[in-house]
Amino acid sequence: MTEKDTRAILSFRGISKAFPGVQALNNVSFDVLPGCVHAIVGENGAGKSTLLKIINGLYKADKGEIYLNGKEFIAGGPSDALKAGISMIYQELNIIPDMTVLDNLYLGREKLSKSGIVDKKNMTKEAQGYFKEQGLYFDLDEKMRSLSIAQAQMLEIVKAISVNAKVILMDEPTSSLTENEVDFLFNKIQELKERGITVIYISHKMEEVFAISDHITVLRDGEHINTVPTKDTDVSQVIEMMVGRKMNEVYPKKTSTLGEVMFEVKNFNKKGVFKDINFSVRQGEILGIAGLIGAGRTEIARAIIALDSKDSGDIYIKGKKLTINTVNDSINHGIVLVPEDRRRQGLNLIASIRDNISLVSLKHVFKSAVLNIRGIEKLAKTQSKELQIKAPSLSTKVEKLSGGNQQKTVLGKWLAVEPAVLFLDEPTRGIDVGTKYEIYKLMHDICSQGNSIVLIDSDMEELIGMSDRVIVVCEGEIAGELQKEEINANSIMRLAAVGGQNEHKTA
Amino acid sequence: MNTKQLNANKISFREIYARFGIVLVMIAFIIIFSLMSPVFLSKANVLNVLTQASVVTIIGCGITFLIITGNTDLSAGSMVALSGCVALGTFKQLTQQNGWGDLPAGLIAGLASILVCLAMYGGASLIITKLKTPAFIVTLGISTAARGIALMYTKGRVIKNIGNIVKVGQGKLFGEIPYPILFMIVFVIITWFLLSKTRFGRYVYAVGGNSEAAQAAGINTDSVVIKSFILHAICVGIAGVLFMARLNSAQPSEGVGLEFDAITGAIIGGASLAGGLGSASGTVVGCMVIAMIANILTLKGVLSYYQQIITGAIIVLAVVIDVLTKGSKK
Repeated sequence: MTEKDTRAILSFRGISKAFPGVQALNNVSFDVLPGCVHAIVGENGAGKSTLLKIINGLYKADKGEIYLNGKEFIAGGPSDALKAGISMIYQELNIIPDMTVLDNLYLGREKLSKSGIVDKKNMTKEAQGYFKEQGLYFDLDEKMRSLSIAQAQMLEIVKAISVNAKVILMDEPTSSLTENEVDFLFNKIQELKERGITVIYISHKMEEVFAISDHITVLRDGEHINTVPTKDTDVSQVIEMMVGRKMNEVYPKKTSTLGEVMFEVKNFNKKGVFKDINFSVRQGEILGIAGLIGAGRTEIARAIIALDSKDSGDIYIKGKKLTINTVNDSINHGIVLVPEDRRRQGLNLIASIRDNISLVSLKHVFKSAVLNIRGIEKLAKTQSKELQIKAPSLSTKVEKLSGGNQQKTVLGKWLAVEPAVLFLDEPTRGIDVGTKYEIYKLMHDICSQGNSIVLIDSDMEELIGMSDRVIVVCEGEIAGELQKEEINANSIMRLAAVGGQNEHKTA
Repeated sequence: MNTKQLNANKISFREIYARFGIVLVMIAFIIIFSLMSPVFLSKANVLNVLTQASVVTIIGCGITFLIITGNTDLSAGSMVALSGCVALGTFKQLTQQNGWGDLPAGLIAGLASILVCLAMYGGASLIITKLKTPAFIVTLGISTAARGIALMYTKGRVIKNIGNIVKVGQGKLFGEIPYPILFMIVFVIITWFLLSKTRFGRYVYAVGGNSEAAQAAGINTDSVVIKSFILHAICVGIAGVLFMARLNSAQPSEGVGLEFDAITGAIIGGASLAGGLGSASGTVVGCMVIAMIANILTLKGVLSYYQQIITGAIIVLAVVIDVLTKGSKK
C-alpha cells in the first residue's frame, strides 16, 4: 500500500466495491491535494462515478478507507458528506422543477424561525448574499422549471459553495452545457480553486480535463492505473493509460465473408442531436458504432427505424431507396432495433415469454387479426429453443428470468421476423460471460445467413472483438471510420473523446 | 441451479391468488351465503343476482379493456344516466309522437345511446392520448359534464310512460331468463374473444404492460387506447338502455357509483390498476362477488347505510390485495 501524502485533503486507500457480476472498483489508492482540480478519467464503466458515490456516501465501499484531512472518514449518506464539507454536483441534476429557486437552494436544510415556521426572509437575504458574491443574478421566486440547464448547473454550484464545502465533486458537469456555459463554469472552478476549495472532476472529454485540471487520475476496469500532474503528461499518454490492456480471446472466430452493400444511411440530420450521418453496411458484416455515452449513437438508431423523428435523411436497402415513416414500415423492410434497455424498451415484464417473443410476429408473420394460437406456440418454441432460453415453461413471466434470458427473449422477439438489418444497442449489458458468448455466436450466425448487423456498444473490448469495421460518433457527428486492421482502443478513444477534426480517417 | 429451479417451481400464495384466488373466494361465499340464507341458492334469487349484476358486468367488460391499457373511467355512472335517458327519450318520441313501431324505434334508441357514448368517450380518448392527460382526471370531468347534460336533456325531470322499451330491461326469454342476463353473456363472450383470441387483445396487454416497449415493437399505442375507449363506449351505451329500461323510467340522477362497482369487480377479478393485467372471466367473477355480497346483505335485512359502508370497505380491501399480490410497478 502506498505511503499517504501528508498534505492530502482526501486519501483513498484500497477502495474496493463489487456489484453483482462486476468488480466496479478494485483496491484503488491515491491522494487528492487541497486547492487543486483533480480530474478522474476512464472509459465507460471504469468506476469513476462509483468512486464519487462512495465519497459521497451513496454507496458503501466493500473494503478500504477514505481519509479526510488525515482522519478516517465514512459517510453514511450525502448529508454526512455535506456536514464534513463534501458536496456533490450530479450528472443528472437533482432539482424539483415545480419549486422555486430559493426552495431548491435550501431543500432539506430550510432555515426555521423560532416558532418553527420556514423563515423565507432570512433565507432570501442569505441567498442574495451568495449570488452577489458569485456575480450571478437569479430571481429567487422563479420556478426551477423555467431555468436553463446551465443556470440550474450554476445554482447547484452556488448551493455547493453555500454549505461551506471544502471539496466539491463534479460528475460530468458539462455534458449538457454549451461552449459559453462551459467557459463560465471553468471560470467558476478557477475561482473556487483560488479560494482553496478542492474540485474532483469527472469527464470523458480530454480537452476539458487538460484545460482545467492540476492532476489526473486514470481508472481502468475498476483499477487505479496512475495519478499524474497534468503538466507532466499529454492526451496520448492518458488515452493509452485508459485503454492499454491485453485483449482476451473471448470472441468466437467469424467465418462469414462480406457480400454486397446491404444497407445505407444517407444525410441523416436532426438538429441538436446528430448531423450528416452517412454510413453503409455490407451483407454478412458487423458494423460497430463507437462513441461515448451521450454521443448520439442510440438516437441515430432510433431515428433510422422511425421510433424517433428526424429532420432529414434517406435509407437504402440493396441500392433501393425506402420510405420509412413508422416502426412498422421499418420492420416490413427487415430493419429492426433491439433497444438498449431491455426492461424499459424491450419487454413486457409481467407478460409471458410466449407473449413477448410473439408480439412483433402477430402482425409481421401471422398477419391475421385472430390469433393463430398454434403458430404462436410453434414460433415461441422455435425461438426459445434456438436461443436456449432457460425457463420452466413458455408461460413463465419474463420478470422471473435472469438478465441473460431476458435479453435472449428480446432477441427472439426480433429474430422471429427474420430481419435483414439488425441494430443491436448494448446487446450484452449486464449479462454473464457465458450468455455473452452465446450472443456473439448468434451474431455470427446471423451474418453467415447474409444479413447485416449494426452494433452499438459501450464495451470497447466487445466492440473491437466483434466488429468488421467501426465508425466513431462524437457529439452527434461521425468523427471517423476504422477498417478491421485499424480498429484498436487507442484510435477509437481518440476519435470518441477528441473528435475527428485533426485526424479524419476514411477508407 | 437446482435450488433456483425449486424456487421457480414453488407456487407462492401470490401466484395461487393471482390465478384462482377470486374463484375460490366466490365458491367460499356461495357456501357461506347459502348457509346464512336458504333462499340464496333458489332459482329466483340466482336469476335476481345475475340480473342485478348484468349492468355492472357489461360496464366492467368495457372498463377491463381500459384498465389493462393502464387507463380507467370514472364517468360510467353518469354516462349510463345520460345515454339511458337519451335512449328512452328517443324511443318515447319516435313511438308516441312519430308513430314508429317498437322494433325500429328501439334500434334507433339503442343506436342513439351508443352514439352519445362514442362522442363523449371518443373525445376523452383523444384528449388522453394526444394531449397526454391522465384518464383519471379527464373522465372525472366527463362524469360531471355528462350528469349535467342528462339533467339538461330531461329538463331535470324523470321521463315516465316510456312504452314497450321497458321489455328490454324487464322482459324474459321464454318467460324464464331476463334479457339483461343475455346481454351480459353476449358482452362477456365478445370481451373474452377480443382479449384472448385476437391480435388487438395482445396489443391491449402489451400497451398496459410496457407502453415504451410496445411502441418500440411498432404498435400504435394511441390507437390501441382509442379503440379500447370505443369498445367501452359501446358497453356503456347498452348498459344505459338496460339500466333505465329496468327502472321503467329515465332518471337523470340515477346510476351513481356504477363505475366504482365495475372497477372494483375488475380489480377483484385480477386486473391491475398499473395496467397489463386483467381478463374477461376475472371481471365477471369479480362483479358476481360484489352482486352476491349486496344480495346477501339485502336478504339478511341489513340497512342500506351499512351496505354502503361494507361495500366501501370491500373496495379498499380489493385494492390492498391488488397491491399485495401484484406489487406496484416501478
